[in-house]
Amino acid sequence: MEGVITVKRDGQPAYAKNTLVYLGDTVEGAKPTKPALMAQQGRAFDKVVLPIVRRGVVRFTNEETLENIYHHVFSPDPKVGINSKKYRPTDDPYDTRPLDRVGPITVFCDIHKEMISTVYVVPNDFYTLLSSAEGATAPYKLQGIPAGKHKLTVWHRSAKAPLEVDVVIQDGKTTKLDITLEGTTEIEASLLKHQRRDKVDYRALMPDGGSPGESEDKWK
Amino acid sequence: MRFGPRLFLILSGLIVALVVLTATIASRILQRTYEPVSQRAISAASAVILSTIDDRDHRARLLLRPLTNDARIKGGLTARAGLADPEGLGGKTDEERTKNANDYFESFVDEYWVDDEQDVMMLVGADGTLAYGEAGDGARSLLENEVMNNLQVSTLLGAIATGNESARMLWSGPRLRSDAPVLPGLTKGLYLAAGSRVVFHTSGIGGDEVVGAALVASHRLELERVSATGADAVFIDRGKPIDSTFRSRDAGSEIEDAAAAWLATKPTGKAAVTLAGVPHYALPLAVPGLVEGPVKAGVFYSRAEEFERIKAAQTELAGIGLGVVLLAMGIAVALSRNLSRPINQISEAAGRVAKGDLQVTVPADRKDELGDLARRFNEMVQGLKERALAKDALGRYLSPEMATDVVGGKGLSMQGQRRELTILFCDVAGFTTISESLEPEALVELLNQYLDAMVKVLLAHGAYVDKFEGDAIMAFWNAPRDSADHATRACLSILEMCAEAKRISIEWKAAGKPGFGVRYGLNTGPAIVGNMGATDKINYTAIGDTVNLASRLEGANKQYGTELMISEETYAQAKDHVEARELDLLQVKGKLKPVRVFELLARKGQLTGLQQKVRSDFAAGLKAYRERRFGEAKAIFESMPADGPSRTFAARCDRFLAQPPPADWDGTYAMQTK
Repeated sequence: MEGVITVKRDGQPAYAKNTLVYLGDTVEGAKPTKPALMAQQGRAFDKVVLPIVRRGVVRFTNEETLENIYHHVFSPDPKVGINSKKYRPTDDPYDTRPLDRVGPITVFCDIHKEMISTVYVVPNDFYTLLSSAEGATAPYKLQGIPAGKHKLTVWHRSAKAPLEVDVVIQDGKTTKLDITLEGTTEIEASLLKHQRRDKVDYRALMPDGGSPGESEDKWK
Repeated sequence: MRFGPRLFLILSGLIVALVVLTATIASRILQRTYEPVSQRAISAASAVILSTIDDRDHRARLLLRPLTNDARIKGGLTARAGLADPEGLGGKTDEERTKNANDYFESFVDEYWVDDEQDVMMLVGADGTLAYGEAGDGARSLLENEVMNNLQVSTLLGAIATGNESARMLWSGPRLRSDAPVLPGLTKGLYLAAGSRVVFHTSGIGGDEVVGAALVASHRLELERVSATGADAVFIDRGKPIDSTFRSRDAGSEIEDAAAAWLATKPTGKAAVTLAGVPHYALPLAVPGLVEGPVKAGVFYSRAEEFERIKAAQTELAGIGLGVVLLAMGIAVALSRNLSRPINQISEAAGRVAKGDLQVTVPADRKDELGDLARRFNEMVQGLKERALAKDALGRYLSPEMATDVVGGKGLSMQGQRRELTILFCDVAGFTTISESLEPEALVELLNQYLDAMVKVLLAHGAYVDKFEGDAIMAFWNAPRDSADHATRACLSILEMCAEAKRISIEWKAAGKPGFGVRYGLNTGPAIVGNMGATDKINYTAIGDTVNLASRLEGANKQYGTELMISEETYAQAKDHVEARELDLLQVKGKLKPVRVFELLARKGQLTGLQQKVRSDFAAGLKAYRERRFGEAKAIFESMPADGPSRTFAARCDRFLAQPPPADWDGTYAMQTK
């Protein structure tokens, strides 16, 4: 099936990049045989969204060029259990345990507050990440879906929850569906306000309430 | 010293003193004008530095507070200290823990914004070693060196360790080894270094533990704003200059070194110092609330302009002063000459007067005191001249000795007084005849020759020559000078005069000139004597009957054919010294009382035999005559026909024989003529 995804934020068209479109759990996918890779380089995750099929493992690598740059991947949801401890590029990469629960897992670095990414556990291989989209609309295409009734799910980190749409797939026929996803700036921005793993702030607040490094203007 | 040079020196000295005084006052005024200017500049520069330091302090506090409260930093420093491992950094040995902690800081601390150009940030462990440093790129090793070797940071850490939660001090920037590369973007200069301790909060018995410190040196202090105040600033570290506003100038480093040397003496207050030959006001900068470190700051204000202005003013004043001095020299020379010239003239004139030159006068046209002096001097010389003339004139009538006394006013009184005098009148017999036979010039010459000779004799005998009247002379004795034997002197005088006159007469006759005889009359008695006449013409003279009688006696000689007739009184006083014979009892015209008159014959004892015989015969004749025995008397008188008086009496006897005198005749002869 195919169609066009339109992403809106606060009612206004926004960029659609990194929107994930996948088929719901009506189809069981095979367990991945290799870990999905998420690199940490330049004090950033190299992917904003990393889709991974259920029961797969994500491998977080520290690929900083300076050997003494620590990273510490963790998920704020303790049930997910992602917690790498601090490791340097010279240390072994961190592999998560197999991720079973479908849905988004936000990951942060316990050292670098600005490092934010999402590992998304999908049920099967019928998914597509609009990673190269430009603008508020982007086309999507999922091929080889078995005929029958399915739930097509659309997600973007600015949306409150994944949007599920019922679709019927017929053999030899291409189903066309355009979907609009509504999100808010507030939801997306709230990701930036996270705390450390142990629920403390990364940096003490400045006397004026700001955080050092956030705005050079405050220092000049 | 002469008057002129002295006056000149005094004037010059006064003017030089005045000029020096003026220059001093001008300097003081300029100094007072410049002092507030320098004060303002120094205050402004100090204020700029202090406010900048305050600003740096604010920046440093802004950075320090989050640094020291960052859980990651606390955790890293705690792990580094080996107290606990809240960040899960691991590490079995101190070395590993330190490495891990340092790597950990390296992982995130650069998110603290640091100005690569200016700010320096350091995290220091509890052991004093550098955990993290940032001062531009790749500064860590340099900062490590700084922390390990720099007394300044140690001082700050020491202050933090010994109780202060935070401390600040002046910092001269990283002190690098001479072979170390320059810290990129970080220049030496004045920074404010601030530090706060980092504490690990433990809930255990030990309480909170200091696990390290965060240090921030915020923004180098730029000197442009200091320069704008007109003052200069110098920062030193352990005596060596770090930075200064002098650097951009000519010979700036020399001045900077001198300023640094002054600051190194740890001055406590404002001072006037000379830096490399340039005078400055200097003020050590005291920043309250800072930890005392090796870095000192000082503010300076150049007094070069002030001194230039003062020098210019002094030069100008010196020029004016020189001009005034030169002018004053001229004035002084002119003035002293103007003053000394008349004084010298008078002095010279006085010298000439002292030598007897009375023809001297000095110019007396000035209107001032010197003019008065000159006029007085001229008057004095005139007075002297008059007195000399008077003395000279007196000398013609008085002996020089007497004349001197008269002029000197010594013991002599020219005032009118009554006193006894012996008075002489003498006259040339038949002068009219002589005068008619001679030319006037020849007559005057002869007369003067005669009078000169007579006066000479008179003066020699102490006479006062009263006056001349043609050939006649009036003189007297016992005035103005006292003379007890005045009658004798007078008698001896006319005896000599008579002899002198006869000698002259003989000379004249021998020279073919007319001969002459002289009549003398002497009388002694009281007279009024003194200066008489009008104001302009005063004559010291004698008046009175005594004088008149003397004149009568002179004239009476004609009656008797005698030359030397003296009165009874004169003879009575001089008889011990002169020889005389009684002539007659004479009643002069205008007088009732007859006067006994004598003919003076010679000095005492010098009568010739003939004279003695004539005198005794005449006396016998006179006796007979008075006893009215005129015939007998006539016979006696006629026996001496050469004797003038005898001839007179013989003729008188003839008349009485023809017509006898009245019965009460007492022998007096009444003279009919004057």
